[in-house]
Amino acid sequence: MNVEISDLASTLTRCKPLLGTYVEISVSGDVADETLIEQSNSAFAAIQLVQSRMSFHDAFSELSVINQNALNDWIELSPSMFKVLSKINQLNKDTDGSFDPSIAPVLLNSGSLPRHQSCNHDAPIADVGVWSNVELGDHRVRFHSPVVLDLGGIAKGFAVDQALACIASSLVCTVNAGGDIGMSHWKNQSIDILFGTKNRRATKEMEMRNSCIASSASYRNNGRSVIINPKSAQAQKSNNTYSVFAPDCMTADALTKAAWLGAATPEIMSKYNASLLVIDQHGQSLH
Amino acid sequence: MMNNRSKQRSSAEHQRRGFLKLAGATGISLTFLSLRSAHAKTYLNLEQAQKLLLPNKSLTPSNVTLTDVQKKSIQAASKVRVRSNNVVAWKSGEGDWLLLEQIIGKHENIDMAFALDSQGRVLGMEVLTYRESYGHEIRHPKWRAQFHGKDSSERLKLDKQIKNISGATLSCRHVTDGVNRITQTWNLVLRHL
Repeated sequence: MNVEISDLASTLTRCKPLLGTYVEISVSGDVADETLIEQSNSAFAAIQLVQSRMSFHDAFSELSVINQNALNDWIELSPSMFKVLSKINQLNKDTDGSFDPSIAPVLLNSGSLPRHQSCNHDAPIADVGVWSNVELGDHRVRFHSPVVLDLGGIAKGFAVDQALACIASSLVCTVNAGGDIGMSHWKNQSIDILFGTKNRRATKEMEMRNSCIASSASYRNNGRSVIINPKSAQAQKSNNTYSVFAPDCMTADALTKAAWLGAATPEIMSKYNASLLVIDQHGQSLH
Repeated sequence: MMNNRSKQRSSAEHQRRGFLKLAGATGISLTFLSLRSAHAKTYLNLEQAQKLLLPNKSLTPSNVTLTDVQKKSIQAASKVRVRSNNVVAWKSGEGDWLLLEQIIGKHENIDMAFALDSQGRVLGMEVLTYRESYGHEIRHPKWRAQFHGKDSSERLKLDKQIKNISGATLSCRHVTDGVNRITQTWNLVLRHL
């Protein structure tokens, strides 16, 4: 939809700590200030809802309930959770198992994820990369072996999509959840991509190639990768920034992990109408 | 930052004292630390944050100076360092509080407004200003000049507009410290005022 925002338009940009990071929502339009406030409130509420469902850190989230109870028992899913798990199912098949959220045991052992009380399983490292033991039914799920899922590789992107979906089509909106970005009007827009290493970082300006972009890099974690290869149960290191442009942010977010693990083939990127950009630590585009 | 383009508004619009026109209208000056930053964004001023967090509430400036004993008690209860004895605060007639806090992380320095209700529960929070240092590039001009130098140095200035940056996620865990400090400040001091 082509929306012309006149010079009289107002813009409201707000930022709140959500999803374990800082989420920025910008809304513009020829409307009353109160409308911009209401619209941004709705978008933040949508993100809050995704957080309450998909956070590993929240012992009472829908994800925590699944992790605790789905072994051999069907667990009913919210429409949002069903949508995300269905996308994971598809991506897991397409990447030949490289995109797999059952890597939580590695992150639990390294202390990157909390062992809160409701997540009292003590899954061994061997139970990593076992998405094939997750059975997805119609809005329900069950595990055929001990599985611990972490949606950290996809939920932030989904939250961006959910927030954008709240905004009236007559308004222009950008949502930036800690670097995963979705724009209602992305043509001729640019973003900066952060690259480098722990102590030496800079940005590179790029044109948007689609409505969403997500990036993965290790400079925030003192060079330690939190992207786990589900096939080796090891953290996979890289000094590159992997950015994916896609029509929706959930896909962009997930495909950055596939790209990091070398599984984002041109065929897969084409299937998802996505494009990959790899920037090395010196700012050179590798892809 | 509010890109309100107010100069181009009609005269009728000018007469409307809109929310977005509050940008820059506040007389409250902040004397927080200024961290040399690679990247800074201003989202809201205090008046706007007040309107978002405690709409339709009349707020009175109610700054508090903590005694050293209070400061130590808050530190002990929250397990978070209390950097300043000064609590920048406003209070409503109903007992709500609006507090200004600075969240200082390893690479970020953020001014935030928090609203508490009369029972000390956190009603909401808004980031006012966000400053982030990317690291050593600030002190290594040769390094930053080696690639896209002009563009890079431009980025090192305070952003004139909100620029979206895609990259690995920055953790907001220091906000949790700020919330703990604030709730203990309310519990030990503000509730008795």
